[in-house]
Amino acid sequence: MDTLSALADGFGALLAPTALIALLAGVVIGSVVGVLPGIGPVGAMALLLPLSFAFDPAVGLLMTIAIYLGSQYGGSTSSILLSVPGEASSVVTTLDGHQMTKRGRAGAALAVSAIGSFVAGTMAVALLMLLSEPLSAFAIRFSAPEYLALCIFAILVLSRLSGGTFTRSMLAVGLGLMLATIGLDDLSGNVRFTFDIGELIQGVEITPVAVGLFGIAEVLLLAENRGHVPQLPKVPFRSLWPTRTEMRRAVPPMFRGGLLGFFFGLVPGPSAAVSTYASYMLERRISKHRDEFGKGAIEGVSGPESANNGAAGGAMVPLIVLGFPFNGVTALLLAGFTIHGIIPGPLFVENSPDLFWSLVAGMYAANITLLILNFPLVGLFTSLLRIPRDVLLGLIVLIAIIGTYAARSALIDVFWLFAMGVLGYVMVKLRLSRVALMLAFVIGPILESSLTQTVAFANGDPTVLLQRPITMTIVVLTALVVLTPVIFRGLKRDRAVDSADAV
Amino acid sequence: MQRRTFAAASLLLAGTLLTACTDASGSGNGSEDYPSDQITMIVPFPAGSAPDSTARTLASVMETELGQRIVIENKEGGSGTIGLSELAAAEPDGYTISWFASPGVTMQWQRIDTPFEGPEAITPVAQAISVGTVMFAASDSGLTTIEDIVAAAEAAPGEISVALPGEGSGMDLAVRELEAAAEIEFDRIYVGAGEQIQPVVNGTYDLGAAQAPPVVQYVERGDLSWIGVFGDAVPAGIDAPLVADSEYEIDPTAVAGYEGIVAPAGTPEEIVDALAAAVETAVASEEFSEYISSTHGIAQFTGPDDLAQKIDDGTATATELIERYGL
Repeated sequence: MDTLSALADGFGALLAPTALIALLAGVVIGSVVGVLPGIGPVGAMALLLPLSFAFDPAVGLLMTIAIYLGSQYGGSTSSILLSVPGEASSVVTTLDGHQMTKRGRAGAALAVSAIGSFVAGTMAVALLMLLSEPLSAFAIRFSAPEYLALCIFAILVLSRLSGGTFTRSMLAVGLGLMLATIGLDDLSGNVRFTFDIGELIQGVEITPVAVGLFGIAEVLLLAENRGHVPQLPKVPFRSLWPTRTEMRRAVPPMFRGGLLGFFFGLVPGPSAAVSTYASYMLERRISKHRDEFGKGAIEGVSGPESANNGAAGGAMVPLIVLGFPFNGVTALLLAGFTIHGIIPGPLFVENSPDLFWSLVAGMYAANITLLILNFPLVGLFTSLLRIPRDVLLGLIVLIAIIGTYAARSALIDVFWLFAMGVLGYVMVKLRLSRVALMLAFVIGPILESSLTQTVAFANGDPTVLLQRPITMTIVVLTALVVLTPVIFRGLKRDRAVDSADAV
Repeated sequence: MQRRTFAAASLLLAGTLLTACTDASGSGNGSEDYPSDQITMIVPFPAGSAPDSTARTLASVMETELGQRIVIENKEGGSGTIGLSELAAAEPDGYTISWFASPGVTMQWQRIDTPFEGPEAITPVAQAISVGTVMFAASDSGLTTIEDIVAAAEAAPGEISVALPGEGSGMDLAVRELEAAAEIEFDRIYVGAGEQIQPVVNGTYDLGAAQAPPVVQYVERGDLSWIGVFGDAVPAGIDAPLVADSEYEIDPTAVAGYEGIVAPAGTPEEIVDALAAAVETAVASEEFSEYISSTHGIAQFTGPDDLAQKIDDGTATATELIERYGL
């Protein structure tokens, strides 16, 4: 059993003290920031990624992954206790989760969502582990035309799924692509759009873009509506144990939600948020207690909460196998990998098996750690919601500035940070998708290089995309998703929040 | 409950402080007792990149040699010229030095609009390694030698595709020089640095040129085969002939890449010599030799005067090539 010995080696790498510290720190900090209302996984990742730059690649990678998984766990806490979703993928949780709180079962809701997250997260890692090698062997066939088709697919599908009109999405995508072209173009050696500012030659970094759009903009939005410090229900430790009946009802949705989420994660766009809706509707359809939904049905918490963690794992597959991000969080994860000198893609699993296996082991370990941490610390995490808003906003801005500057000690990045913060604020006001901008910014260089290569390769004949089996498949898939929004029509009805920021 | 809030806030704050790095630049006090303080070494490439790991490996050996810490600062961008422009602005007191890769110093500053002014702005200290650029083909193409690919290109002018990182890169120039020497024409395709291997493995392009390390395992597995090495030395653990030794006249110094350390212009001679001596010892050290053989590099020490000559020749050649190929 080759897989097992490789995995054992991966766990062996985790035993180094620095690796353990990085993993633990990533998990804790990721959860803490994930709990804070208004800062979703993208904001949390963006703020915290610079922390991992202090470590060597293998350890930094672990911390990056731990932050990623940790930030996915926290969002449900404020949904359940306050009916204030921490991010788009926890909106559905408010429906039944907050009702459970009103009935005095807040503890059970929190516990079930932590257990569900663990079950789904672990399932997703197992699938990722089994699928990565065979899929990478297949993905090695990808060349410029395939990557070009993939870029078009990602952009179109994202605009289809992230809400808002096609025009709005394309506006955001256009902005992102424009940002991506600033600086030195490696292929031609030309310097573009720098207006003779020397610092712009190296282009725009992802850290200030992400932290600005999702961190600073969030601070501006929060500062705008002076909220009061919410009255939090007490969650005594004893009430954390779900009753036997609750447990029996909550477990099957975890597996269903986890699997559903995983497959949603393979699709570009706000897969985590969409998968929570899908899971909720599925549970409501097959439940024996259909009348309880909306009044505190535990299935309505455990299904969706599992689904978004399944999706977080599923989204790792295209990232590892193709080196291609399908949503905002994996775009940041890709940036984090790149900064540590790790280039995911078809050759990654083969070229760096040690790294791949320690990453898989790290994901297993992070899920276990999160489960263990979430129980005793649930009180601490909820008390985070009590931090006075003024203090919190100041802290977030402070972390944002330090983190952005530390990424590569360039002062221009701090200017970008605030420019992007203002842009993010304006985008929210105009209901433009920030995720679309960021994704376009990340895949811009891939799009450009694959486009120029494909044009050269096909001597300018666009039908090349219909002549190769893989590109043909992607084109057909794109057409399907763009032309048949029927599948998602049900989701459009209850768009309580601007799901443009769903991840 | 107040205490809980505090605990939470301090958790956040602790995270913040983790990122805060101290950065003290040394201030020299005369060159006779150099170095009396820690040295900052700029690396004009991203953390984790190949030049970065070479620089860090060498710096860690030099630390014991000089008895002072060497702090690495990554200032990537502009093909390695951004970091050099930072260096040029620093005090020439030996406490700020920089890693460099030859294209940035000899070629790129002439091609792109960068604040770096070229060799005038720096004092060469020492070369530590040469960079082996290899040419490779897919195994099932049946191409295994320079003669093979020249014959193939003669049979189908402009049809044989070569995957190259970018226009005007060292590898691009090497292939152009081969084209000129053999009077042939390839279809040069620019795919971006690091992207040259996969499309050759899957048969999209016929040939590729890249730095040796990532190619090795594909040759060992039988997916790719070596064609030749550009430059003047064959990297450790690679079984391929030098293109310069073939019948085609290619000046290896024009296309060979090298990396090492430079200081700001006007750095006192005794400081440059002290640094160069440390580099020489470090290059010969066991730790560095191990690193070189594991990464298929070429250890090659060149002192300040020879390096200055090398950079001047390279800059003149680059000017000529930019003119000739209209880059």
